[in-house]
Amino acid sequence: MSVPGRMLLLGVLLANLSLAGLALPARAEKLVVVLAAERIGITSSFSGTQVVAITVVERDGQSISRSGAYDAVALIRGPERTQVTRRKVRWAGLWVNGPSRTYVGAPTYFAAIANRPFADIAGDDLRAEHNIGLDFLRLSTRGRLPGDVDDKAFRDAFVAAKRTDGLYVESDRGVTFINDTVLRASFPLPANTPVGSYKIDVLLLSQGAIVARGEASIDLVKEGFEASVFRASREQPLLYGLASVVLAIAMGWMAGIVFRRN
Amino acid sequence: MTVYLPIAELTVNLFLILGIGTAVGFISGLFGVGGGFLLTPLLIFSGISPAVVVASEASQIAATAFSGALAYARRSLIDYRLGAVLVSGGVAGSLLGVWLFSLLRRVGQLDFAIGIAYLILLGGIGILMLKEAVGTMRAKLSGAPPPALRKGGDHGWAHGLPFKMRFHKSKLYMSVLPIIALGAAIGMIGSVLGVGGGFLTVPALIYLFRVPTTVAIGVSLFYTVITMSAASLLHATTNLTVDIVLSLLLMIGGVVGAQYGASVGQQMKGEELRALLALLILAVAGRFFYEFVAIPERLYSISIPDVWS
Repeated sequence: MSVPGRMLLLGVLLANLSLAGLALPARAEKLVVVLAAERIGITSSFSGTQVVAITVVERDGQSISRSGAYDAVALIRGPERTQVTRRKVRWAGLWVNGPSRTYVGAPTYFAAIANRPFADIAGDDLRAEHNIGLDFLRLSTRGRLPGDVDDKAFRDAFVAAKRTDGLYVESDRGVTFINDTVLRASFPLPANTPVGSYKIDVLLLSQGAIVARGEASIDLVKEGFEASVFRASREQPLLYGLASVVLAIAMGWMAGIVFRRN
Repeated sequence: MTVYLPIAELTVNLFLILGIGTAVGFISGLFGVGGGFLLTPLLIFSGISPAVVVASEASQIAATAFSGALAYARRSLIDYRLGAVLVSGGVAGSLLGVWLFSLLRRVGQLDFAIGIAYLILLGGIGILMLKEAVGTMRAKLSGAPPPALRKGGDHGWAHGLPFKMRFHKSKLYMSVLPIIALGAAIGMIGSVLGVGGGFLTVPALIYLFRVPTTVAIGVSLFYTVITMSAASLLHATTNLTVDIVLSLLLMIGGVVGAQYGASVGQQMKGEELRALLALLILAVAGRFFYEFVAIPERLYSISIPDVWS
């Protein structure tokens, strides 16, 4: 935005303030997060997808002028589940599962994406408060470890393993500004991503402080045949089990007939 | 071409799964075993969770065993009486096995228990079979008659036990207790390892109870159909981990592969087949052994406990 434009905005802002007699609002920008679809159907050919969220920065008349450009961070959290990390130890010459660390309600999927390196956008305190970046993702633990076990090693291993599976994502190029007030956040959902609700949190920052937040959510659901099979297995487990037995018997019987004629 | 498995919640390569099913089916037709001992490790290796693998392949094993059992039934080679006694022990063993499975999963030692059990079972049986097969081959080469499995007047070691029963087809008159115990042991091992147990049942019937080989295979197939159908039903209702799409893909590959395996197997000598099977079993055991002693690639593992509850 040009300098005269900013001056004009400031002028409007001051005028409004004097009219309403209000204190300067902390946040004058509003974010509207738009998704192409609010649900993604998983069908038999699902092999992961890229989700794009467009965020529009709405300024009302009270918007104060910002010196310097905006930064933006998008945080995406998948369904939460308790997850256990185990470390292998050598026991009588064999590698067996040893000490473990339980992460309660940890996101099964987590992505932190931004328009430039996280460290340049926000300070550590803010990053810790809002889970900005994988290093700052809060993971609640349960149980206690023996004194000699390094808690951080477990955490790092957990995050690293999730990253390898494509379920934890961090990128400082995932958010791009199309222009001053429209930004595009793009994150990958791998094929092994769990079904459920994914919460998208967009943070608009300026000079290391959050000036606005926007939210959206996207549901990953099974569709068509896959959905019916899943529902049947949950709602009619006995019939479902019988079906699998009947299928087995029928297949075995058919194979017997088809190949005997040959 | 990929396919999404609705219960495993994962996309897999269609041809990979069909290929695994066909290859294992070929081997199971060739050697007359269920092939679960190969299928479980292969599927876990392709990224499907052990709980889904063990539950879903139960119906595949039942399908392959049923097509085999039909062939044996037509030639009236199934001793239903012996099969029923074996099954009665198998049901109790399966229930115990499912309980053990969930206990081991809770304490995080399921992988270890499965690995060790495979290592000991496969290693032991592989060595025994290889010894026997090589011995027979040598005897044949030197022109001596092969050692008889069943000697005249030999009633076996379990002669003194009570509850005797006559099994005509198996040429057996013995106590039901060791048969029930065998059924229970195989049922338990089967439900923990996700195997039908044919590679245990057949040698046990032949070497321990002196049942004729063809009848032993027939009884084993009958036992496998019943216990694996029950296991499939049990997994579907308690663990909710049966992926019917995965089962179907494995069945298609399995039954086709089994037919070709069987026709190839008929052109080979029994001892050659047994030696090959022994080598295959030892190879799988070796892989488990390697995993136990080699420095792990990933020192840490993640598991999601009780996802389905």
